Amino acid sequence: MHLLERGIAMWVVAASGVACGSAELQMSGRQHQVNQAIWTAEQAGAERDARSAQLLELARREMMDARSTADNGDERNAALLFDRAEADSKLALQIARTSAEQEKARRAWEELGAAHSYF
Amino acid sequence: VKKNRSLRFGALGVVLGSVAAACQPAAPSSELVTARRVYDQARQGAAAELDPAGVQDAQASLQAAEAVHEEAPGSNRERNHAYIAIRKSELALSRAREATALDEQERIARAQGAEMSQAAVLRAEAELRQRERELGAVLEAVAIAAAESGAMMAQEEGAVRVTGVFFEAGSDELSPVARKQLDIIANQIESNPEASTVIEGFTDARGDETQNLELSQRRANAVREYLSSRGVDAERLEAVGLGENYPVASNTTPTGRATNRRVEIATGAGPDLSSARALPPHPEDDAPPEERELEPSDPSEREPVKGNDGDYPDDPQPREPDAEEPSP
Repeated sequence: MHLLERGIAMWVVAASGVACGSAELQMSGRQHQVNQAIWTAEQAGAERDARSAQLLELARREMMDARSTADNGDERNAALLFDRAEADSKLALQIARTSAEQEKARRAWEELGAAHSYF
Repeated sequence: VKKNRSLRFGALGVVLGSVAAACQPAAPSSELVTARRVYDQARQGAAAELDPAGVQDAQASLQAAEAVHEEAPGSNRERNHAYIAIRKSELALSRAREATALDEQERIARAQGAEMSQAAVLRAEAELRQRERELGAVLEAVAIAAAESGAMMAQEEGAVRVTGVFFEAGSDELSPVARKQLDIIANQIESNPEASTVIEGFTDARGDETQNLELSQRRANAVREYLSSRGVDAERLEAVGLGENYPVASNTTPTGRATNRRVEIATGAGPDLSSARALPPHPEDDAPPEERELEPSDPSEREPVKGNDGDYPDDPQPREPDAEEPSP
C-alpha cells in the first residue's frame, strides 16, 4: 500500500513535469513563430511604411508581454498575446506589400501618361 | 403599516431592477464593436471576392470573440479575440487592395504593350514615307534631267518658241542647265534687235491654283531678270505667269509634272507672241488648252487629270493645298 501511494505520487510529479515542459515547449514554439513573422515583415521593408512600422512595434511589445505572461504561468493569456503579436506582424507585412504594389501601379500610370503625351 | 408597505414595495423594486439588469445582455467591448464593423467591411467589399479565405479566417476570429463575449463579457479575453479579429479583417482588406493594384499594373502593362505596337507601326509608316520622299526626289531629279535634255524649239511664223527651262517643284530658281540655255537664247534675242520676247511661266497641276499662278509669274520673272543680266534690254522682255494652264505633259507622273514646270520663251516679230502657241496640248489632256478651264482651288472640287490610264484615284501624289509642294 505504501509502495502504491509512493508510485502514484511519483506518477503525479512526473506528469506535472511533462505538462509543464510541454507548455514551455509550446510557448517557445509560438515565440519562434512570431519572431519569424516579425523578421519576415522587417525583411520586406515594413519599417519604411508608417502604419507597418507601428504594427511591428506593437507586435514586438506584445511578444514581450506574452513572454512575461507565460513566465508567470498564465499560458492562456500568453497564447492570446502571441496571437495578437503574430496578427500585427502579418498585417504589417501585408500593408508593406500592398503599399509597394500600389506605388508600382501609380508609377505605371505615370509612365503610360508620359508615353501618351510622347506619342 | 403604511411605512412597512412602502419599504416592501421599495425592496421589491430593487430586486426586480437587479433581475432586469442581470437579464440585459452585457454591452460589447469597443474592440468587439470595431471587429464587427471591420469584418462587415471585408465581407461586403472586394475582399470577399479577392480573398475569401482571409475573410473566412476573420469570421472565425470574430465568432471566437463573440463566444467569449457570451461567456465573459468585457473581459480581456474578449478584447484580445476581438483585436485579432480586427487584424484578420484588415489583413483580408489589404490583400484585396494588393490584388487590385496588381490587376491595375497588368492592365497598364497591356495598354503599354498596345502603345508600343502602335508606336512601332507609326515608326514603320514614317520610315516608309521617308523612303517614298527620297525616291520621289530621285524621280524628280531624273525627270528634270530628262525634260532638260528634251528641250523643244519650235519655229513659228516669224517667231521662235523655246520650251526648255525647267524648275524644281515649288521653286523659281534657275538650274545651271537652264542658265546655259538662256545664255544661248539671250544671244539670239540680242542678234535680232527688232524682235520682241514674251516669257511665259507655268507650273504643274499640284497645289493651289492661285499660288501656282504666282509661282509661274516668279519663274517668268526669274528668266526675264537673267536675260536682262545677260545684256538683253528689259524693255523688250514681257514676263507672264500662266499657272498650271496649258500643260504639255500629263500631270499624273513625276516626269510629266517636271515637264510642265517650265518657262516658254517666244521671240520674234509677231504682234502677239503669247497667243500664237506653237506647242500643242499634251495628248493625254481631254480638252485643247484654249478650252480648258481653270481648275478650282479646292482639291475636292477638282476634276482628275483625265486621259491617263489610272486617272486621278491612282495618282501616286494626290493634290495638296500647298503650291507644288517641293520634295523634301
